[in-house]
Order: sequence, then structure tokens, then C-alpha cells
Amino acid sequence: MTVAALEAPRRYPPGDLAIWIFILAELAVFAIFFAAYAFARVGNVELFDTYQQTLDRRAALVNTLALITSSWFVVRAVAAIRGDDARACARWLLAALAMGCLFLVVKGAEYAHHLGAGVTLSTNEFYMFYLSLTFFHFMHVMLGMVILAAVALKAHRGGYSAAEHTGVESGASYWHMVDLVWLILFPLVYVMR
Amino acid sequence: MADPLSPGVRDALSLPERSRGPLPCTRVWLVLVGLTLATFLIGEVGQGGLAASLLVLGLALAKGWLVGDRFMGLAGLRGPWRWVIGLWLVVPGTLIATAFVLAA
Repeated sequence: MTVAALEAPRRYPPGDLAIWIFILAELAVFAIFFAAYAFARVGNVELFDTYQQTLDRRAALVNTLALITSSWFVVRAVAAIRGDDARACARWLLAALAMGCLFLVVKGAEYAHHLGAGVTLSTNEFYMFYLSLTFFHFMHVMLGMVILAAVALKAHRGGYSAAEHTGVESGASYWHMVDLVWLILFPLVYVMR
Repeated sequence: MADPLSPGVRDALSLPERSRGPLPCTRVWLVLVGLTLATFLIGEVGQGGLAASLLVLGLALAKGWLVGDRFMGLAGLRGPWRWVIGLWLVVPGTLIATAFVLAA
């Protein structure tokens, strides 16, 4: 690739355009969820603020740092494959997957605590939003990890190169979306009151 | 000799600059960590309230913009895709802010 080609401004984001259509659809759903939470709170501020205090903010902090760090690792993976280093790309993706595992373990422990205390979707309006919003995101983390694992395996087997790595960029874009959603979810559900 | 790559291209490729220091993506990660810790501390020491909530929301939107622009690689684009994440952040951000103002 020449410097002139690098300098040409691009019109489309990295990765397959189809994954971006999917990402936008996912983001639209989460935006509706966020707005629904915020406006449901308007009618019941005391209940939302009281039960928010039962959440483990330190666990949410660990999970936020885990997702931010995993996103950084994914950026390094994309940079590695652009430099034609498929092995390094696979290693960075494995590091990102480890951060994803940490997220699932911490969030799983939070769910175990709440379910052990008898909390369900029907306990009250706050927990209904908390459980459904965070579990919807939890499923996206799992799907993102499946995508990253598949990309890492293909990279390890030499399936990507500096010339052709659309799959790496597509997987990376999806994972960043998962991170992006949590960056709004964390303050909205755990901090803002 | 002049650097043949612009800063934008270097960012997109996560290449180190001529001057020593962390990679651009590492600097972004450090900023994200710092803003996350600030958000956590506001939640821990603050008493809540509209001003603190809007500050935390602002920090979250700034973090989201950094992820879209720098991590997702939209910074170097021209055309509507350049702004797609920013627009997404503005819509729920405005709705959330409106709801918290109404609740205050």
C-alpha cells in the first residue's frame, strides 16, 4: 500500500459494511432501552435511587476497565494484522478474550448475588430494568467473544494478511460497539441518581 | 527527513510517532481509564443530584466519542459515516439528560 493510498480519505468505516448496519441496529435498540430506563425513573425517582444503592459499583468499575482494556487490545490486534503480523494479531485477540471472560465472571457473580437475595424481574421496576438491560448487554458480550474467538483462530491459522483483513476489522468494530454500550450503561444504571 | 504519514494515518495504523512515547491508542486508553475512575469517584463520594448526574453523563459521552473516533476508526473518514457514532451518542444522551432534568 502506498503512502498516497493511505492518505486518501476513506468514505466507509473499517470492516464489512453489513456489520455496521447490524451495529447501528443494535445501537438503536440500546438507545431505546436507555431512554426507557431514564423516563421510567422520572415517575419513581425514590425507588430507582434506593435500589441503585444495592448494586455493586466496584464490580461495575472492574467490568468497565475490563471492556475498555479489551477494546484497546483489539485496536492492537487490528494494527498487528495491518502490519502483516498474524500471530501478534491472534495474541492480542486472546488478551481481549481474557478481558471478556473477566467481565462475564464479575457480572455472573453480581447476578448470583442478586438472585440469591431473591431478586427477580418482577421484584420492582428498577430491578426489571437493571436485569433486562444488563443481561441483554451480557448476551452481546458473549456473542462478541464468539466472534473474536473465531477471528483469532483464523488469524492464528494464517487466514488474514495486511492485504486482506476485513474479518478482523468487522469483529473489532462489533466488539467496540459492545464496549461503547457499556460506557453509557455503567453511569446510567450504577452512578446517576 | 519529513514524516511521510500524517498524524491521522498514524492514528489509524496505531503507529508510534517520531517522538518517543506511548502509541496513540494507548494514550486514548489511558484517558478512558482516567474518565472511568472519575465517574466511579463521583458515584462514591457524591450525594447525587442533577449537576453530578449531568457531569457523569458528559464524561460517558466523551468516552463514547473517543471509542467511536479513535478505536472504531471513524476519525479518518469523510462523509456521513464520520458522524454516525457521535449522532448516536447525542440522541440517547439528550433523552437521558431531559429525563433527569424532569426528575430533578
